Amino acid sequence: MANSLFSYLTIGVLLFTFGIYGVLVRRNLIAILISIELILNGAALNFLAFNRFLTPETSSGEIFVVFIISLAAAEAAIGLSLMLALYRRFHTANVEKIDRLKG
Amino acid sequence: MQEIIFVFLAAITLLGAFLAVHLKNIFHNAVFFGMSLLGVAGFFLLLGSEFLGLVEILIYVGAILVAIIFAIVISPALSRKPESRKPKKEVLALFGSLALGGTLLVTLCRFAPVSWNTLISFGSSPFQITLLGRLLMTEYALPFEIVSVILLIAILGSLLNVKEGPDG
Repeated sequence: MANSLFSYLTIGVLLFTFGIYGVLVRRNLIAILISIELILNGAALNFLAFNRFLTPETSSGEIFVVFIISLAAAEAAIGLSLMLALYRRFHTANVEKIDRLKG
Repeated sequence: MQEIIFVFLAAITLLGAFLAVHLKNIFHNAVFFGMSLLGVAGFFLLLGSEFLGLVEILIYVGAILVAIIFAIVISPALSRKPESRKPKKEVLALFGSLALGGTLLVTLCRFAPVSWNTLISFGSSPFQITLLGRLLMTEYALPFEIVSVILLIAILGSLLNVKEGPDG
């Protein structure tokens, strides 16, 4: 079980599903950010598992995981700074209360 | 032995991910998110990539999680009151994510080639960090440079976002 690609893909799918559930159900901006990070982690796990099991002689999956992690860091920095700016202006982190653009 | 490690890692990853999205207190979410990240780092180690396992702990747990907790504690109203949810929205979100995840799992079970179930022996050809470094400097040099520019822009952009403006 530990040595088959199938079990790693299942873990990746479950992480992705939990992330999607979090994005849909949460109303707190930071919680949505955490859920997006879970989605990215599921994708990264899939990349590394495919690399390890199907083409073990190359390192391309590993390189993609490096890129995913650095983009996730950039995204978290931007997301948290947006959260702080919104919190300062609207005094809430609830995304359903920040609806000025709704018209 | 490897089975036990795999099951243990799967348990802490999935339990941490579930509690990270389900609990209503944002501080608890962040802590269980960290637990899930440690599990994913363990999977990276188990897959033979020591470098990525350490990078995952260093960047995710060391930088992103600390930044998230920092944002939580400097806006105190966030950590005090747990959020309320509409039950209708909760049911719809559960249905939507179960539909997506179920579709993915069924596709995986039905159409995965049999070879994906074959076992490989670990340690036969572990990832080499020298190969990774060489690829980043030769074949993947352009994406590497673009990612560094993106990181620079992200730093400047986040500083600009939180700057106290005349109307901020």
